[in-house]
Amino acid sequence: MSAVAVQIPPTLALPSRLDAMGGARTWLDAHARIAGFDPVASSELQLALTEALSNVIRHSYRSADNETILLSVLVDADTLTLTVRDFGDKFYRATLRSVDLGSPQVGGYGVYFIEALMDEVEWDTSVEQGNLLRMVRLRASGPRG
Amino acid sequence: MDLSTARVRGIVVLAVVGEIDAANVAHLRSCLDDLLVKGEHNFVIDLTDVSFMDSSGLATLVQLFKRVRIGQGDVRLCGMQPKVKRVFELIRLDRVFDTFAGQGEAVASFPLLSEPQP
Amino acid sequence: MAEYLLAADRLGPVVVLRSSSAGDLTAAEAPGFRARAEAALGDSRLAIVDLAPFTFIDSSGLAALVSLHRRLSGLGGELRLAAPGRDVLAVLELARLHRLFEIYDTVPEALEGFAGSR
Repeated sequence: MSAVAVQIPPTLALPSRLDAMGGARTWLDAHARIAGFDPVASSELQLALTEALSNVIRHSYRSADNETILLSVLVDADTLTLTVRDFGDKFYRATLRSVDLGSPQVGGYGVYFIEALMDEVEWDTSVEQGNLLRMVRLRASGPRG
Repeated sequence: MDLSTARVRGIVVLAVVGEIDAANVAHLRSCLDDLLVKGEHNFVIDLTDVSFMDSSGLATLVQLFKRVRIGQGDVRLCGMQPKVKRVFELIRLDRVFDTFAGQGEAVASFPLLSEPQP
Repeated sequence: MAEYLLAADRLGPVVVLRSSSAGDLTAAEAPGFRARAEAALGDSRLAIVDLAPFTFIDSSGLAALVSLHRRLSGLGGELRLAAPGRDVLAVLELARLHRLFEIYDTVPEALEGFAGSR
């Protein structure tokens, strides 16, 4: 059997608590910087992560604070892939109303930010329990929106 | 997150230090609620030392904006760091809020008010 | 630091490894686990790691499993995984290692597969 290069992404397990998000940002920042992303790009990744975690905690887990959220970061030559796995209620992207940027709203921007800041976003609801959110950021991303 | 308030020419100047996210935004909201209940309707929010703001922080500012407009007041912002500014621009809040470099400019931009000076 | 406790059962040519130190398999535990596993394996080519004792596994734990797998593959053998809990299975899938390893719900099922091995 020939040797296959296996890249193991760093993983982090979080409790489903809003006050754990700061620590998750720090973890992601470290990995983004190691991967060569600049501070501005890292801050955007951290924002996408924060919005994703807020949604998982408040919606998938309905604010239960004793559940688990798993994060992983996979880096290659062109991309950084951030995955968020929860075991709560399914999240169906198609059921969300689109955001109206014409008049400022109080809330509802979380998913909009995730999709504006990341290059590919997919909520995989086919996992056995909960959701698998995959967010990809290209290294060479330019300004968007 | 730390908050400090001052009153200048009848305008509340609220300086926020740290990160604003869903975990601590309630603290900011309740501080603003207290001020609104006291009848304040002109605000400068100084974001110079805000290193991170998520959608819940933005929502709080939008909510404040909507409420003060009812009393013909205004909310102006100053000191936004580039990464926070980017987030504002993404949802076009840069078209809603007047923003300035520093507190002084932001306060000076308000029309002169008839209130007696403290 | 307490010694890492690993039970090794020999069932014919297959070594079944099961940690007696229930809990996480992360950076703290991975070196001890790996050293004990290598010592227990000796010249054996076929092994199963019973993952039931682990509540969580991180990239260090995954790296230990991959290194054991490489060692056995190099001898013409194989490492299989059995009985992962929900969070451990999720991490294996996140790392796409469910494509590298054969993962079984129970140790007996993992053993069955080996019966016909050379």
